Amino acid sequence: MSVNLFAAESETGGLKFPSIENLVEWPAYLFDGTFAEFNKIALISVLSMAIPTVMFLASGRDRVPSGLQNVVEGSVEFIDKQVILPAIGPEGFKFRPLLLSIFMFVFVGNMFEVIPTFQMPLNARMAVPLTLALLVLVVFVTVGIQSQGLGGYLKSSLFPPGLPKGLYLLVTPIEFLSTFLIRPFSLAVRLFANMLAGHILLVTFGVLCIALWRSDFLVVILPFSFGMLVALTGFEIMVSFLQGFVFALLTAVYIGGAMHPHH
Amino acid sequence: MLTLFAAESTEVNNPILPVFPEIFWGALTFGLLYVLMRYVLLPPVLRTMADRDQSLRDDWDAAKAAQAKAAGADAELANALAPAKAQAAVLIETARTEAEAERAEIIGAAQTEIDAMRQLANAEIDAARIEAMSGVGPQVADLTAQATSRLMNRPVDAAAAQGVVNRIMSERS
Repeated sequence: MSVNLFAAESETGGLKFPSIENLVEWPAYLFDGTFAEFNKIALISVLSMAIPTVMFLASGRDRVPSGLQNVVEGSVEFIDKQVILPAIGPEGFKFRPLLLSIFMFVFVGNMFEVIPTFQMPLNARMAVPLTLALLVLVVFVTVGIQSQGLGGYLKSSLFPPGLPKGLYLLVTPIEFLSTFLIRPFSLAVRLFANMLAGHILLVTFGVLCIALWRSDFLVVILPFSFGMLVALTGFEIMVSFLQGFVFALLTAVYIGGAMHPHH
Repeated sequence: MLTLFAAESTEVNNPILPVFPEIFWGALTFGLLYVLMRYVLLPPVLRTMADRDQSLRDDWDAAKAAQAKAAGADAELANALAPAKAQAAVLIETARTEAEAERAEIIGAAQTEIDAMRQLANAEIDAARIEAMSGVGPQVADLTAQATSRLMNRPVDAAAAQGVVNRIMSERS
């Protein structure tokens, strides 16, 4: 069933790279074959929810923050100042729980890419990015309808002002695709593709390191391969943060656009 | 056996397509995080931050009020001190003027006294010198006559010598 650690080297001595299915699909721990099949991705989902929860619960309430309280309050301020205010404005603070949840969930889920024994980012599977992107679609459409009414929202979304009437035949379908399909799709694919690419890169250099370790002469290259592995690990930490930020920021931009169509 | 890669599945799934159990767990856990964040986790953090902001604002306002109060007290003190300062300046100026006058008077009196004493001393010196001259004159004339007589090997008139000495001494004095 499983491929052992040294399977990176083939029987002929060459490098045997695992197939993509081996990198991202995981066997069930519980409820095998049911709709709630619990595998590594599900475990990471639970941990991505549990870790921010524990962080918030364990952080202090001191007047002068320190330690974990700094991290928690820094996250809240980061979302306020870097996401909500630039993209929506002060009226966007009511979306703070949603945007903070998105940021924390995506960031913590991504960080499992570099946590030993897990080494699998939650968002290198399409399920979670797609779920979040569909949720974002529902949220910004709802906000648009609440702010402008159904007719006003459809009009502002599908009929950009200032165009000759004939052009609407061309522009309106494009706007429909852009707003209701491409936005969530690109949101999901951006996160998924970035994390999957990073995961494949790390696995590539990991497999390369294993193969070089077991080779005779090529072992001299091992320090370079290992150096790349370490550097890419640091890079993936940055990407994890950046993708969480970008996802939250684009969500805020879409919500802001639905609230203020003329801005 | 330590495993590096996931299990090889007998079913061939497209690894890019989402699978329902992962969507289920992702939606469930994210939904739970959102609900917790909205109703349990975030409110106390926001309250703490708001309390801190309010506390800082209160402290700032209190500091500004105290500063204004101190400035008022300073102005009040300055107002209260102004007449006293003016009066003190007048007193100081008067005292200075009086002291100056008194000093000039004392110095003038001392100068007068010094001048009188100096005049008296000069008179005494003159008298003493005249007396000394009158006492020493005949002896000098005698000595001069004797010395001149020896130098010239002839007698010199004592009266003439006395006259010459007296004339020279009167010229020197």
